[in-house]
Amino acid sequence: MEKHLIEEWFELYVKDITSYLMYYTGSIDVEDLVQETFLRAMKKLTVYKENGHPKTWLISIARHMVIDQYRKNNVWNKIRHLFIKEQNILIDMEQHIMINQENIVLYHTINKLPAHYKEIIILKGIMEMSSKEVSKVIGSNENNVNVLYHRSLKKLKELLEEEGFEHGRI
Amino acid sequence: MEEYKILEEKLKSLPKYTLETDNKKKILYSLKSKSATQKYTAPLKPIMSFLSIAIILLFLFFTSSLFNNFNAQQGAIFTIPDRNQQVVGVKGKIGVLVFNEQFVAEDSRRGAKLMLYFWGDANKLVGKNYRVEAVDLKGENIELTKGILSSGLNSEDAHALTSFVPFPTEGEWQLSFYVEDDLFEAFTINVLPPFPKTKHYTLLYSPKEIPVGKLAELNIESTIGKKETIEVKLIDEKGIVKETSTFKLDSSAIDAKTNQTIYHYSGEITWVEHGKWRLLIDGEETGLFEN
Repeated sequence: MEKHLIEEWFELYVKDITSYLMYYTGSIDVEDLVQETFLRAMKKLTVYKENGHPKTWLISIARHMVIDQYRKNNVWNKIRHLFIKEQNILIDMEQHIMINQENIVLYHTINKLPAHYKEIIILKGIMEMSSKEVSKVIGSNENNVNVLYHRSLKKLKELLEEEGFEHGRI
Repeated sequence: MEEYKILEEKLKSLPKYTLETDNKKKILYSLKSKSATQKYTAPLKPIMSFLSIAIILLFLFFTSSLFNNFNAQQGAIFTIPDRNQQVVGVKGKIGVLVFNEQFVAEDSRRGAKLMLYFWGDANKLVGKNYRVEAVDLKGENIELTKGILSSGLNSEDAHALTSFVPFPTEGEWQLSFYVEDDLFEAFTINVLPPFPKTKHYTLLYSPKEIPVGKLAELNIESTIGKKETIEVKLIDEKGIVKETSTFKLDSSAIDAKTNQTIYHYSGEITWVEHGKWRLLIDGEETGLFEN
């Protein structure tokens, strides 16, 4: 029964998890992370609370996983921005986002946001999750999510304007 | 929020991603196989823990009967008044006359030519079969000796001149004395660690018997006797020579068991403190021992 549940969830939410991980890590190479997310979910299935939504639960698992990994690689991550890696990832993603100049600039700018802003933009803005869902994922309440989302949008807009985007177009 | 409407629309229009079909299949397959193996491990866990607890309990149950809780009193050293001899045993019941009132593991010398003294009802002792058994804390059981009791020489009611087989290990042993298969008396002793020895030389004192801080007269037994004197060095744990002494050959004898000539050297060494030591006897090193 557990088995079927996880497989069912995989079919239903693989798109959400993949999108989240791609935007969050800035890499298109997230296949392993997606798999690890579902494996972890399988192991933790006994602590899964029925009243929570599996989608937010799965995304929060993915989130914890990448945060863990980020902490582990923290030192390397800090210096790797100075090198070429970041550039490669961006090029990867640009190729995926494809052709649309506006999208590329938007994506670039999102990546310039502080981590907690970036996260909320991904979850609420791009993935179109409700404030309630986002609050479940990041372990906060709806009010905070709304406030944070508003600040993130404001910051994003400011950065875009700095990039030379015409005010009217955004 | 009005002012961000366009920006929000833009964000929503950013592409959503999913994995390629091949990748999805691969992950789905690994989820299936993992959950399949999990199916077996999940119920296995409580079974395994139950089994291991059961095994531990069984082990404890069986070994508890093996681990002896010595119920006998500790052997006391007392003096037989009529001949001023010190023996180890239970006053008024049993006494063992042994050099220094101490047994040493692996050593047959001290167990050779022992006197056993029995006090009790001479009619129930003299001429009867006796047997001495020893058991250690791990449950190792050995028969030290057996024979027939003779009448008392002085104040005791019966005696036996005999030899004990060597104790295989140091530590606590309980000695049980049986007369005609009935337990007559039992007491415990502490068997000392084996004598420090080299290929040819054996110190005839257990280091624990040698007093600290004063000059001790010692004997060393040797299977070679070419030299009139031998050099003995006391080395501490770190390998530093603390004392160098000369031992002189003073006697030789034929070992009854091996028919070999054995030689005795005597000399003096001072241990200034307790610790771990080695002896370098005529260039041969003993193992590490504690005093």
